[in-house]
Amino acid sequence: MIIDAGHIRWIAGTGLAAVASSILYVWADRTTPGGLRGGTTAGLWFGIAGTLLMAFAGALSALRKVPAWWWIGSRKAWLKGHIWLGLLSVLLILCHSGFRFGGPLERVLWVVFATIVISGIVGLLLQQSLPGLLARRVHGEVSFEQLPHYCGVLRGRADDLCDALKLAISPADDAAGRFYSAYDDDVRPFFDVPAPRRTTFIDEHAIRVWFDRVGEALRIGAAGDAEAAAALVNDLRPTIDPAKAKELLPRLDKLVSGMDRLFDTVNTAGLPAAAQASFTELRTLATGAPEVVPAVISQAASAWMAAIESLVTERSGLRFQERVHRWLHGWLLIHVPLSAALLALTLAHIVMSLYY
Amino acid sequence: MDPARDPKTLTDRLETDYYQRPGTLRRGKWFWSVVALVVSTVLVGALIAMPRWHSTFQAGPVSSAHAVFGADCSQCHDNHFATAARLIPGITSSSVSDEKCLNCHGAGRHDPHQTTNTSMSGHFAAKCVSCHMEHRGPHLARLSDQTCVRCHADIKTDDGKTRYAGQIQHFAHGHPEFGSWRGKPVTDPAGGKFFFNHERHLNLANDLKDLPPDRRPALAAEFARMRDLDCAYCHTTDADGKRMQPIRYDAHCAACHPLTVAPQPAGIWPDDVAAKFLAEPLKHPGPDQSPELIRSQLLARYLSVADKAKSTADRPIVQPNVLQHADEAVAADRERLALDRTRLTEGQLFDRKGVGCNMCHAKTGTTPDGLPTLAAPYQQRGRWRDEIASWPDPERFRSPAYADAANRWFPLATFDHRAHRTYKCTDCHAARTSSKTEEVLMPNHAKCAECHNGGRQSARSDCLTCHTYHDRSQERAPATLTRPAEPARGGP
Repeated sequence: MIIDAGHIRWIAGTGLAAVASSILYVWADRTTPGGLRGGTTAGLWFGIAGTLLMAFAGALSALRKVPAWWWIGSRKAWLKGHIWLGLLSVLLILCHSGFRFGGPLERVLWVVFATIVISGIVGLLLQQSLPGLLARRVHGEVSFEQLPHYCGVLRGRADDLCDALKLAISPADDAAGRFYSAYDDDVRPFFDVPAPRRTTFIDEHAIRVWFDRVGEALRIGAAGDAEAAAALVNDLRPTIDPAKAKELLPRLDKLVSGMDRLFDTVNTAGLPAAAQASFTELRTLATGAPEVVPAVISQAASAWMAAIESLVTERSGLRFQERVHRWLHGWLLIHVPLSAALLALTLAHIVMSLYY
Repeated sequence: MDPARDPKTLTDRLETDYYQRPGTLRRGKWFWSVVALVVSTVLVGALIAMPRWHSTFQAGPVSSAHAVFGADCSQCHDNHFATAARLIPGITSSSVSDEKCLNCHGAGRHDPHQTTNTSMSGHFAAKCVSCHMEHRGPHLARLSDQTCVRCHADIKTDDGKTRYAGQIQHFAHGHPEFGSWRGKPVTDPAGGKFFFNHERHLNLANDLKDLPPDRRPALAAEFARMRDLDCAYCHTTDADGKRMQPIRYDAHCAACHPLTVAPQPAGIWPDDVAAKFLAEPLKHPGPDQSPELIRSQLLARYLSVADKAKSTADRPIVQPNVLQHADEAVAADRERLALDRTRLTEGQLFDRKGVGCNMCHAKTGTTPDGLPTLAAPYQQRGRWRDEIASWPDPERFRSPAYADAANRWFPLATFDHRAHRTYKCTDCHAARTSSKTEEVLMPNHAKCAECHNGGRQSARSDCLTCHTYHDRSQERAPATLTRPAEPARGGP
């Protein structure tokens, strides 16, 4: 939740309540023999008020379990109350204790309570800053729950592109072999969720450098596109044997039109088979101008490699989102369970303190 | 539009049923919440189930005096859930009843007239736990001024009368002058009838320093001691270093003022007899004795030296020593003679102004036997025994706790001389300028407040520095206290 102008009334109300509580505490502390303690009249009332506020703050997690009754208030209002009344409860509990730490159970309560409050404040601060950072650095944000599936989709597309690339650049080539090996060892695991802690692809710059080196090693030029490849194939038209023109020219036209499919790096399903067929057809049709074949293949390989780099870059962005998400919500793994422990310990404190 | 994010291909990229399965974060929250809840509940349950671990629930360790109870909370706590009643302002119920405290501490009452926090009237002026709050450190009896001031800052009594001061905030604020409740300046009631000049005695060693040693050979050593000890020549503290021990004639006066007297009538005694008579001081009557003691000593002496008198006129009539009745007549005559001489000597001691007994004691009358009644210093009269009757609460001071207090100038407070040993006596007691017996040389409130004022560099000035609350003489052995059982040990 972003702290904005909508919180002003809550802040003012909490501040007023804090000032009133402090004044009441000072008065009660001075007029209570031995000072205000948890067991004095004022101390007990401070304890009740603080506990009620803690209970209200804890009820936020139960809110999603009940229907959206109109009288119960909006979730946003509850969240504001959770923040500000939860903070106010700290002051009231301090007043309840007379700013003392008490015995062993009370000390444990203090540690748990302080951890809950601090984790909540940390979470609030993170939620003030990280969403903006995420919006600036990650353009294609995906729902966190979708990340495993979505990254699997990305990996599938990368696998298709890589399989197609193997048809263009044989693994038998020494440099190509090293690339395919690196693809299996580094690129594919990079699409796992959660992402591996150690990776080559720490940011966009590292990714660009890595793929530039791969491109140099594999002698892949600038990224090609379907139009350029279609133009190259079209250039084969004069080389077609006139005797076979009736049979081959339709095949050439089909090959030209099929270039769009070959360069479609988004819908990669069936790409390797399409590439296999296109390259075979191209070699058949390019007998009169064999230099066109490697030129077209190079265009395709270049586009596929660029597509793989794009997928890795997108995954890198999602990895940042993944990490930010863990920061944004990971504190809840401390905040919420300790709140459950606080509930049990508080009940024990209340019962035993009143019993003795 | 980026073809990779074309809405038409949305279902190719995204799951449509992802919301049906909980996310890892939500699963983690639930799992760890359940773990935390179970662990803390089990832990608390174990602590409750094991009494020896109940100290875990204490707000703080028990005071050192109650350390013997250990974790056995029931030794003190018997009113369970009574704490909850304190939610209602004005109710001071406690889980520890006064009876539990009184099992061990038969503490005496404070003031039966006070109305604040009164309970168990006749024995206790307030609930024990109103002042003695446990689990707040090692000292249960060392109370803060706030505990006293909450009543004494605006004292309320059942008869509306304020006996000492109505609004005492601190020793430096609102505290009355010492002994002001007597309604008059503190004076020695023996003044005018018993004589002692502090100024004269403190300067004596200096005034007589040029006296030839051969003139007063016996006093030379005493003057040296007086010069060295100053006030301590007479005033010494008890073993605790707190109170001054009474002045005793034998210890403090006899060296310079021996009860010596020449045998009477003068001139009938051989020199050796007279010298011996004069050299042996008479024993001074003690606090519970009278001049009868002097008379009996003189009689004994005169009977023992009767045969040594030179004058024939004084000799007894000699009868033939053949009959029993003759011996009896001789003996009767010796006793009559000794009594005559004794009365003659008593006149030297009792009746001459400025010398003998009259140096210190004023003669207040004569007994039918002819013995004088002499004014005694306060110590010998039980000090304030007579005055107590006029005190605000005489009954209170008749309790054993105040038996000693009745012998003190300010019975409502204590004083520790040893704590002030770095000062000279005369820094606080104006003895060097005091020449009258009735002048009580106790420092006043302003003198004490020079150091005990609660300022930044003040000496300790809280109420308990000087005052006590309970009548400790009423403390008794525990009635029902049982020592907590030792934890079970392993087998042999």
